[in-house]
Amino acid sequence: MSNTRRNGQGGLPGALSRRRFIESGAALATLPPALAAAMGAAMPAPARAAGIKALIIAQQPGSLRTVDPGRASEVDGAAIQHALYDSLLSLNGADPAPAYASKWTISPDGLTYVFDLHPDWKFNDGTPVTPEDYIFSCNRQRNNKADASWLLGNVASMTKSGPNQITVTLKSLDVDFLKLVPNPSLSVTKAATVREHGGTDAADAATKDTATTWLDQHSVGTGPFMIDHWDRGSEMVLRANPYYWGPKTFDTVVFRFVQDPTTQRDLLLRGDAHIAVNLTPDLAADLQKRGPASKTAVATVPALGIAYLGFNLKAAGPISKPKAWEAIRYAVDYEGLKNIYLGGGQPTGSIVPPQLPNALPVAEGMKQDIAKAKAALAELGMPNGFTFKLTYGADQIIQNVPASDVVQKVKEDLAAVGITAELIGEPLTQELTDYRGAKADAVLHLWAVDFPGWTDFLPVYAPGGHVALARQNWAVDSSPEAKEIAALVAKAVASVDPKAQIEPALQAQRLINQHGPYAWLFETNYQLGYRTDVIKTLSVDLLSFFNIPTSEFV
Amino acid sequence: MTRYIVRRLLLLIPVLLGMTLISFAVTKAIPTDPIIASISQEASNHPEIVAAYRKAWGLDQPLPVQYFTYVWNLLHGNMGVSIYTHRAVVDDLLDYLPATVELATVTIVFSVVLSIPLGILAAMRRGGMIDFVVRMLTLAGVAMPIFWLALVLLNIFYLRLGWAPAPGRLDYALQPPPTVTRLYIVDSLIAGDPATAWNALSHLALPAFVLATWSVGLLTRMTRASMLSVLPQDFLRAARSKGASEFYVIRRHAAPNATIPVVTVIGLAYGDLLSGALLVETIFGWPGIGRYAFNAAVHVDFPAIIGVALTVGFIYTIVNLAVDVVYALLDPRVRASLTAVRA
Repeated sequence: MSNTRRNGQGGLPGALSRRRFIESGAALATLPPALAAAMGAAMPAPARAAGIKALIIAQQPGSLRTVDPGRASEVDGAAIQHALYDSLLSLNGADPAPAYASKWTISPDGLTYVFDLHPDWKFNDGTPVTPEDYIFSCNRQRNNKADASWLLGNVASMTKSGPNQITVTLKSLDVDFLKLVPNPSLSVTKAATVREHGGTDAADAATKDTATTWLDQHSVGTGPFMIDHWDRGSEMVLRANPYYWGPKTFDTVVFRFVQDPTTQRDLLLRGDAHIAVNLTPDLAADLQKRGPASKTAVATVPALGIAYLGFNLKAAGPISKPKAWEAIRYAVDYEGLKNIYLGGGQPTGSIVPPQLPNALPVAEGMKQDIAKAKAALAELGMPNGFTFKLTYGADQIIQNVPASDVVQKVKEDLAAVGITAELIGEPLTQELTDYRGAKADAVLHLWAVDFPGWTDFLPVYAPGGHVALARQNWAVDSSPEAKEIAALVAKAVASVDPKAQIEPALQAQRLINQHGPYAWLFETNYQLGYRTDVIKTLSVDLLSFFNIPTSEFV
Repeated sequence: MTRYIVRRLLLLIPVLLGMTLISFAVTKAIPTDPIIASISQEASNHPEIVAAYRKAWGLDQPLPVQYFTYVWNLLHGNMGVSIYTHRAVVDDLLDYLPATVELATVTIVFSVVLSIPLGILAAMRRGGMIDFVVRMLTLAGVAMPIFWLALVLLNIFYLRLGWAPAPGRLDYALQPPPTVTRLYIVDSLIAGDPATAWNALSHLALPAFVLATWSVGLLTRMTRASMLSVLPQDFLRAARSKGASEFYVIRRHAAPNATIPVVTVIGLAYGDLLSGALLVETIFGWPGIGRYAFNAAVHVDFPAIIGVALTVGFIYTIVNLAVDVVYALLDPRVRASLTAVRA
């Protein structure tokens, strides 16, 4: 909340003669800041409004394309969308919690969900929220075939079943359906206003819906804030929603788009930002080292992303063989990786992040064992090691940890047992094209969370899953172990009873750890810096990473 | 002169068309799928979503059809929609280019104001202490890594001393001025708000200084070299022999002749600054065309890449045309040659 005014210090040092000053070269170095300081002191600029209570957040513009909930899907916009809109449910940790729906029931077969809605909620224009608004928002989202339109792909019908009730029927069992619902892309928007500005929920919404331009500068939601303006590349300013159903916090929230993490750290230290979103692990460690005197603290948030090595079963050479994967898994120094990711990561038991149900305990995760790595190489028939190409995004930041640092460490670890990883650093977009097209022999990659449920991870990486098949070429019939894993996963996802999911899901992960074409390196964390003189507790959830409405402020 | 300018402007058309072809060919030669590279991980697993995106951008059409469709739309004033931002490229350029134009303009003005007197002074004191200091500083300016200097100056003058304002175009507490030119300084003045204009200028000072280290180095060295070649000329000796003061000789006769070749370099330097200063924009949180162009390039976003190339190419050409006109105004010999061409 501090609006740091420059203090007018600086200027040319009068003690020096002009000649000496010029000759010292100091003039060139001090001219611009002196000018800036002089300008700031000479004419103080008027504030937007005196006494305004503002929260300022420094974050990278990243891939933020739109805040239209019908089309947005980017992680970078989740916190903004969370401040503007509500979905039927929110998250409490990884568990669904009430939002527009005050309570819900699930049919015994797990296919029908009935949501009871708050009857008194209002949009930010003061008009009441209706079930029709939510249904319109979801249909628009599904039919426009944008990035997140798959979220409702398994919904057979969504109907108003009472004045304040919605019933959703699924095509097939989805044990994590309630984890999908809090996604900001499934937020409620006012149908009439969106229609008025070109929105449609018709089947041809992919080509006919034109409301996004308007929704990028205005919002018609139920969240605590509404859009004041979005100056792309510079800032997005939100102002308080007078009809918000929850407690008031700030008059204004300013998202300042700052690409450089060091600059974000500096803004935080100067009090010109209250939250810095994209701190690298070393910058977060620097803030922690400065301690309370700096009036800053660091909140570490599990990002539910898994960094891993993936191997292609159709690659030429030994890297396509299970014993090669085993040798690599045993050769990697997982403890040593902690020195690379610092607070930006944590160990994982397998592909399911530790915070989610049915995650394999971290204690059962992969561990370095050089003797076993060498034994696997001997069984492979290559006791002196082998060479393979390891592709990675040279410009990729694995949720604030540089991929190049991770891959160098892996290369060193593998070299210790004779395995040579030829690093192929590509632009991330090229790496994505190669990996998603199954053209890479081996990759360092990240699977980021789409929804905080274990089915966003395990079935995807099990034999025959989206990633396993399309990128690793790991089919169900590729080995007896693959068949066994696929059967276990199928059993888990078909169990309505959460308790019945546990054992097959855990066993599947154990087998993937032993036989799968992967080495799970770590789970990623976000590290957010914040001002302790403004924020008492920075509330975080597993989708929007920080949550303004539920944070506590000084 | 008018015919010359018209001829140069007409030449722009084939130049810009050539740029579209080269930019398109280069982006298509890169083995990156722009759709796969820009959609989310889960969406990439859904063929119907991928197909919808391909159709929306015409990527399901043969390459010649894609190119001629683009050119046809361009001739109708439509630069297409960015694959990465999903917005009209024109809207993106209107959002990002003005910040760069403002930064580049302040930088070049600062550079010219500083470097021409410095270059003249250094030449007049050739071999002396001032010359030595100027040469060393300008050499450092040309050689110093821009990103390093930006980080160091930001750390010292913003973080430690608090002299410089926070990165960005304005203090957060200020409302951007009503949009006219999208140049904050100009728009603030049009709106009768000198305080905001002043604030915008103060935010420009540090990034402009960092960028100017290179252009000041270049222009100062150029001015010095040019001045050294002019100073021994007979016409200066003649002026002195008539009793003119040294200041008058330098201001009236030496400097105008020495700055003629510098004008060309000013145009080129301005063009370079306009094409984006990615690192400075990144460090100073400057929402300019550099980062937009970078994102377009890494995402093989061909509508945006061609849009940036055309816009920067157009500005570059116009600036250099203006430089040639100024050159002709300054140098009677050039005017004479243009007249000869017309005859």
